[in-house]
Amino acid sequence: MTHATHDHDPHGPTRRSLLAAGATGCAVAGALAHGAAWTLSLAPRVSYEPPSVRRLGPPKTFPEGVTFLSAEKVFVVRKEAAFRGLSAVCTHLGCTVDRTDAGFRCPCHGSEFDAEGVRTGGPAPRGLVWRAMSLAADGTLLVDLAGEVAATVALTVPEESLR
Amino acid sequence: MRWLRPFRTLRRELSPTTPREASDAVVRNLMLHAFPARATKRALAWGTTGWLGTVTLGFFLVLCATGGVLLLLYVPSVERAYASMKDLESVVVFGSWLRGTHRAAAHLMVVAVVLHLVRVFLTGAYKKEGAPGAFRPLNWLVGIGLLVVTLGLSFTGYLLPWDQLAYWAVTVGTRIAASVPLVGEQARHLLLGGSSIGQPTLTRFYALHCFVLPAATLLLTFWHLWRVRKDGGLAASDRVVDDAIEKARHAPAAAGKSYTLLGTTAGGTVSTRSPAPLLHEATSFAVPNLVRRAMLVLLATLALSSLLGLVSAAPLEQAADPERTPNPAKAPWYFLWLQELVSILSFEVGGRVLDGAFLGGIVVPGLLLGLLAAWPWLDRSPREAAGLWFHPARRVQCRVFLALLLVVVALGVVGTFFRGPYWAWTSPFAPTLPVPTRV
Ligand code: HEM
Ligand code: FES
Repeated sequence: MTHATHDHDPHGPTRRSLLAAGATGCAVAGALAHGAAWTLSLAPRVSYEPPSVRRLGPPKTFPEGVTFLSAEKVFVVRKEAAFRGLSAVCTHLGCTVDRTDAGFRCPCHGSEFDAEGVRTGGPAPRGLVWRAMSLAADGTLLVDLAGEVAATVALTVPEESLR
Repeated sequence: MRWLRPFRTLRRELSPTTPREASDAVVRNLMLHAFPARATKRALAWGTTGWLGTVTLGFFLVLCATGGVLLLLYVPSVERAYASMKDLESVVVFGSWLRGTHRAAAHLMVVAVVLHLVRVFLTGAYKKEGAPGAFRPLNWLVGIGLLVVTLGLSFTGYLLPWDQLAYWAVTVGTRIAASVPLVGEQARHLLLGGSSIGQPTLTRFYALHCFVLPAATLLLTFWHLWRVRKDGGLAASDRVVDDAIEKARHAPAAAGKSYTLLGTTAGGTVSTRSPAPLLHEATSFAVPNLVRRAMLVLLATLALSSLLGLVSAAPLEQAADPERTPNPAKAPWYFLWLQELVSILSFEVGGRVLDGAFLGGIVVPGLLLGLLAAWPWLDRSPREAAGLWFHPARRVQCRVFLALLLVVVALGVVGTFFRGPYWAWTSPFAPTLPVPTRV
């Protein structure tokens, strides 16, 4: 028969070391769980920002050529019945570009784009982004400020909505 | 009068008349306890360190004090933040002085922390020799942490007035974060609390600026100053101690004073070959000599920021307008070297444009910080080179460091003075800035 003190392997865990390891484990797990919960709680799941699809008004209110809408940061480019939307947000660091004779230019670090939004100079890594346009059921022009379409994609509105 | 007694005690502690009182002071008084009993005269000399760390701390304390009042006058909401700044400027009694002082101290703290870093580098004061248990490179890393927190404080404070300057500087700044591959967009989203700058952003920056970062600065500063003690005092003192030991080894044994931990001596007459008498020569009591200088330096920082706050009003532009980007939109001056980098570091390689935002905003500053952090391990100079300005053994690295610093300063000067509308070249001497017309 072994004595009580020799019940365990002297090199193995004692009750004390086991409890200590357990407590340390709990503390680490708790810290990790709290850290993860805090971080996740800070990533918003509800946005109070306006929706990405914006109503711009009846198509006929847009003159031929380019119209800048400052609230939406979008240029509406109209050619007769064809409408396209060009984002005014610089692809470099997000300033709003100005329209110039040659196309567009960014006030922040001087990126330049031609009239089709193609990058012609400056630090921007790529051209301006074209946005999808559509018509609402009530005939209002809509632009989707999220996502991207090719420069060639245009919305052709029916004749009657331009009268 | 009884109630005056604590003040009398404090007075006696601050101006001790006997060595006994001097050494008692650092034990009895909580604040004085931060100091050693004795410090080398060399470490106390103005030219050894310029006291630039203490200067930085001074500006930080001024910021905490003025910030505490501003905290009660500022409303962190997008509807009211700008109006509360306007009130500070025009309605609140002494409001513009308060704000000016806070702004001046903020700029000066950035200047001071950089100068302190430069001083530590040029004197090789991150080198590890010193007392047992000393490891100065660790304190250098703590210092780099303090540099980052200081810049973070400036950047978050920048948004709070909610004016055009604030809005667009933060737009550009957070887009730089977004340019990091893979995690960038999420990081920006977390920082802004959404996909664009709004109330969640203001709330987050407010919490960072008024609580998280000041608390971090305070804790890191405690650690930093405790490390200075652990590292056997300033690096400049190492030489004094080394010299004393060296001299003592060659000197004949003599009746010397015994040297106790607190520097009080009973005038022992044991014959030893001890560096103690030499050290005694080279050091003086921290109270009052160190304390007096430290208080003078703190007073000077308070005076300087108060006066600057009086004569130079803190700028306030028009209210933040997400619909209109000012031209040019500039970051605060200490970030303009980065803005210059992000605008010149876009390269076209085989039809693809490398993103200047990532290169200039993340890679280059990241490499610079990494290089700074690794420098103590790259520096192979002998221990004699620690604590001396431009030691011959460190001449080359000091030159490399100064050259890098010069490039950063030059980029900043270009960004500040030579960039006009559309970030195009301009000259500060140009009679009027040509503002291109909008179509
Ligand atoms: C909020 C920012 C900081 C504060 C309040 C601060 C404060 C101080 C103080 C009071 C000292 C004593 C010596 C002196 O006054 O020069 C000191 C020493 C030191 N600091 Fe800082 N510091 C800050 C940032 C930094 C930075 C950015 C670095 C470098 C990356 C740094 C590295 C060091 C080192 C290595 C020492 C020891 C110097 C020696 O032994 O001579 N500190 N600091
Ligand atoms: S944000 Fe447009 S060029 Fe930098």
